[in-house]
Amino acid sequence: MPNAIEVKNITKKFGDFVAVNDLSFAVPEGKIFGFLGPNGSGKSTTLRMLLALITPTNGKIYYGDKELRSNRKEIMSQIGCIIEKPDFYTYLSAHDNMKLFARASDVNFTTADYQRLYELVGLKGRENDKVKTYSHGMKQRLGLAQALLHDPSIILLDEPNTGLDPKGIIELRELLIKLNKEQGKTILFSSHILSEVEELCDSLVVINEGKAVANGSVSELLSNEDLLVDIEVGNINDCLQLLEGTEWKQYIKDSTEQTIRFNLAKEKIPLLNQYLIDNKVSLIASSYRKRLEDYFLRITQNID
Amino acid sequence: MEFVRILKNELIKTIKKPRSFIGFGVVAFICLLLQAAFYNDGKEILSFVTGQLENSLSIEGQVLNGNLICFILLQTLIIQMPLLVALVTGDLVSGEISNGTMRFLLTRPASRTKILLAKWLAGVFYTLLLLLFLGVLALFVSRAIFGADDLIHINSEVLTVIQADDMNWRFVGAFCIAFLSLTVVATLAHFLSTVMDNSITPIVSTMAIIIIFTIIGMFDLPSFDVLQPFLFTTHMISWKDMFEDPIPKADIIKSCVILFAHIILLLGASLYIFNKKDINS
Repeated sequence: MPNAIEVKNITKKFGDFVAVNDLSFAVPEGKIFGFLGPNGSGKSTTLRMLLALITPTNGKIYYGDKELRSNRKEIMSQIGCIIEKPDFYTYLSAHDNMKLFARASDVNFTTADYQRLYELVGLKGRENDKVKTYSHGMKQRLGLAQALLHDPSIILLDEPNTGLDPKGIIELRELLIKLNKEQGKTILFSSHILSEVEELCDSLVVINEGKAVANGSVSELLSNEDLLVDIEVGNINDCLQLLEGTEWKQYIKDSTEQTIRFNLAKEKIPLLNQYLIDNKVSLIASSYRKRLEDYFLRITQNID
Repeated sequence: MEFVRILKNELIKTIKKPRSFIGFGVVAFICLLLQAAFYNDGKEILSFVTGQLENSLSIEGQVLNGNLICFILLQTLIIQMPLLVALVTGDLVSGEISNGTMRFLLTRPASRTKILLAKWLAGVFYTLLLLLFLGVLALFVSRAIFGADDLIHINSEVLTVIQADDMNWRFVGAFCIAFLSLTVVATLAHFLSTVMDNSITPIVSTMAIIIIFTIIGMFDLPSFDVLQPFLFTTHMISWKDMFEDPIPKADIIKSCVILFAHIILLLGASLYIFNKKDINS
């Protein structure tokens, strides 16, 4: 599969500080790609370099087979983005803002086109309000509208669900899936909600201290990962005594007053639950954290 | 066409920005205040001045007239207009960087050069509008209130009288030179706005530079004499030359060339810096 974006050995230095260090990764065409990293990892700097807002000290960025710096105009007409937080001209209405962006992108929209877009992002009826009256969630929706305005083939979204309510997060997820599956758009998606990334993305790159620390398809990266499973029981001591000498003992990671934590493959969770119930343990709850969260923490903080 | 669309965007933003109206409000307030003051007390003040002259010459006609009021109002150019122009043009680039909208602008297909030139032209257009507004209020409103007559003024300790019929083209010339001077201020503020990332510092810095250059221009010291001919502030008041008799054409042309050179230099530097600038905010 051809690559929509290819980052080749980019480095960015601010004085002596190296924000991004020899970073390489590729975003396959037509896929949803996760871009993860803790705060200060060089994520925003990389995204800005992908959008020609910052010039790399070294390295090249390609969109398809075209180099970004020498084909900026052509490439930018194919990219929609939200970078950091969505900022608009607050003294203008949302619709006036959109008209500004449409002119800047050479888009000739009819009123019906605008209305379709407002409906798509959930802003219909509020488009004539001044942006200064908008909540952060509404600005995020408007940000999405401006990103989709010129029907780009590649969408770069930096924390697009920040400020959205649960309904908004679900709607955004459904919209991104729709844009990807039905229109074949390539989406590079950065988020701190890792369960969302795990659910949405086909592949991902994790960067830390400016370097890629993991890169590949989500299923491959997580295939060898065990889950952290928390079992909450009525009497912890009786339960620990029961597990002593059984095969489950080897999976116990630690325990608190009410919870025993296991390091366990997903398919073993129902077997453990069944074992406890069969042995009359009062099982209050059994839960596991999303695998990507553990994986992310482990590779960015060296937590085993 | 792309540049026209971007320019249209910049003009819309400049016109709709609340701070753009501050300049018009201040100009209107100062003009109307001075006109009201001259309407009430002008004859008294002028009779004090002309009374001293009447021993040596005879003055006929209306000394306190619209042309004189306009000439007096234009003297305020050196004080208030640069600040009002810098208030808007100093915010054009840095304001958008600090509030984050520059990120959205620069991720559109248009080049940075076109975006910056459109912003500069919007600033120049605002300067023109402000100056035209001043012109209408200062000249036409003053003439409507006080009538039009010969302009009598003392320039460089010489009493100059300019016929009323001779005034219109001189005012047009004076406004053109004033426009060029204020365009230098707009370009300087625009340049500083490109260098800095917050909206207040370029405005304050522009005024600081004007004040420093004006002070250098005021003192007749040998070490300042070398600098004075090249400072734009030295040439900002050359619009007054349009009311000399005869008009010192060579001096006016020289001033215009120096002012124009400042614009080219500052705009070129802005383009160079903006094209290299990392947008980190």
